[in-house]
Amino acid sequence: MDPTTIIFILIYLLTVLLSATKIVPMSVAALIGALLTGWFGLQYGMFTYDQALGFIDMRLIGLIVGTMIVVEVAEKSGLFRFGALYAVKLSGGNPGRLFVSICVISAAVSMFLSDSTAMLLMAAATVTITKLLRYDPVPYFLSAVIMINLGGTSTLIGSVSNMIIGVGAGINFTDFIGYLAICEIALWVLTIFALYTFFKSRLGEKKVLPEYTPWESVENRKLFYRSIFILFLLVFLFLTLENLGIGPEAVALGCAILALVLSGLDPTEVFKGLDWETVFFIAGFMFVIGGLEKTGILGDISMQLFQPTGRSPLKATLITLWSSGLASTLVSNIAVALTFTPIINLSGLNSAPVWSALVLGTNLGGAATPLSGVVCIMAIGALKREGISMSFSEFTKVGLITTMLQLGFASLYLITRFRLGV
Amino acid sequence: MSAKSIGEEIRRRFPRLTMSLVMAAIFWIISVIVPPTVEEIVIPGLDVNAGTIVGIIAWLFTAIFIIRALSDALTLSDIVTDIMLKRLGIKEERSSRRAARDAIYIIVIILVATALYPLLGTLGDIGRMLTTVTTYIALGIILVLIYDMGRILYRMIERRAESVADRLAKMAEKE
Repeated sequence: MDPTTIIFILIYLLTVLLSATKIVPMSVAALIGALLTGWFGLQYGMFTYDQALGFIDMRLIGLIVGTMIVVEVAEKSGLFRFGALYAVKLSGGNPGRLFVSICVISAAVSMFLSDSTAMLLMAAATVTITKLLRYDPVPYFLSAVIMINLGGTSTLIGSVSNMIIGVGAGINFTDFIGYLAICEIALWVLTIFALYTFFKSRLGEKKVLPEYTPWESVENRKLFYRSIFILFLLVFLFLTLENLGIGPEAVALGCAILALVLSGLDPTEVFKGLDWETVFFIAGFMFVIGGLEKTGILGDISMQLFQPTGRSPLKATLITLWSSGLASTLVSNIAVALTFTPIINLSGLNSAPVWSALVLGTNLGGAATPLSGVVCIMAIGALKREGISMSFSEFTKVGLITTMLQLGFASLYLITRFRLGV
Repeated sequence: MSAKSIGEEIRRRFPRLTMSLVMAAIFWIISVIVPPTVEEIVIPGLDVNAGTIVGIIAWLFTAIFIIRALSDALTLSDIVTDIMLKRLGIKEERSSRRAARDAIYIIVIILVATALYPLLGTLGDIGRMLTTVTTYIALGIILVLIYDMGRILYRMIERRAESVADRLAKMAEKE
């Protein structure tokens, strides 16, 4: 291995370590990596300045920012809070039904909202409800975290890692749903069942819910209906994208502009609510991966990873699923998606089952331990603020069991869905 | 360890380390200088020349003082490493997070040193000298950081082994 390659590997490791240990914010870690990549790459003549500018995929940034704006407007309209309160009301104070409601709402909400925003919303709702009914909040809370991580696995805009893979692999919205929707529904059922079995004895007894109407969370009904319209339009356009001859980023940005115009909200307030930390992390990390790709090491890794498979789709799919899944338990799934996407593209094995495996791996590995993702850290922090302590081992025990269960099921699904043979 | 006890430890161990090293050096010199001068003398009864006996005894004492010095040096290097790492900004307890921070510092030092070389190369003779100095300083700090990572790993494995032993002992006591 030549010294230049070692330098770029060290930059990659530094970026991953800095973001995993949270010594500096994730975005700063990626930007430091990008700065070092630029410095060494230009100094060693690995790439030109113009080539470096192409490292950041503006289509992906457009898709992420556009979707974030649409969702932020919907969030400000009270749409997601309305949905959460309505579903809780439907449970009627039955702890079992309430538990299932919270699990379903968490996963459903995170199909549209970023995981961290969904966590904030569900944290507030869960703590309020469990306090009111005097239930142990830990089972409800922990299950919400695991379901938020699972939600949105089967849609292009369900999570940032899905957008990265979708744009990198050229998979459209309908293909995404076609490959993974059944798997996601089955995973919801399986995970809720596993969590219910695990926490059954801690859910509490039936109590009477206090009187409230979900409409209390909606301040502006006009904005509320307009947000629903824009969300439907976004999904409809994603579904008919192929006939329009444009990319998903164009649809997302178009709908974002429409949302800003129709909502009448102050754009500054909307932009303030966007998850810029993630956007800058992705931009910086894409630059680091771009530099690493120029050294040829990603091609070598791709060969080392997939050579033992003998080009068998079954082995390649399972290796992708489990390696990306286990990697996501340790580092951010965005980083894993950004690293694996070029590796799979270079392997020549870029088929639907392998991409589906990467989507499932990156999504499912995110809630195995309290350190697996931002949402887990936020959950523990939110509980601590409420004076409730949840130990590392308690979280890991539930998180790891459900993750392994989900990855095991995903393996079986991929084998049967794509009829993979040795 | 508190600042006071660190001070006491340094006061106790440093003179002992110095004395051990001085004594080891003296016995090593004896083992080199004395044997050739007494080679002619053969010890009656043993039929071995006095030079060999003196050499063996001197080496033995050198080894004893080196071992003594090593045990003090290990404790002092622990203290010096802690002080140095605190100066570098690593203030956490010895945990896996601290080991990760050590790894980050090692990578940063390698990258910074590598980035500096071409710049220093433009400064001619002074630049060459600065490059050597930078390399040695970087190597020194990296060694300290690797030592710190090593001892964290050692403690973690030790603690894990202790808890396993404790669990096994409790199981045995229950039987």
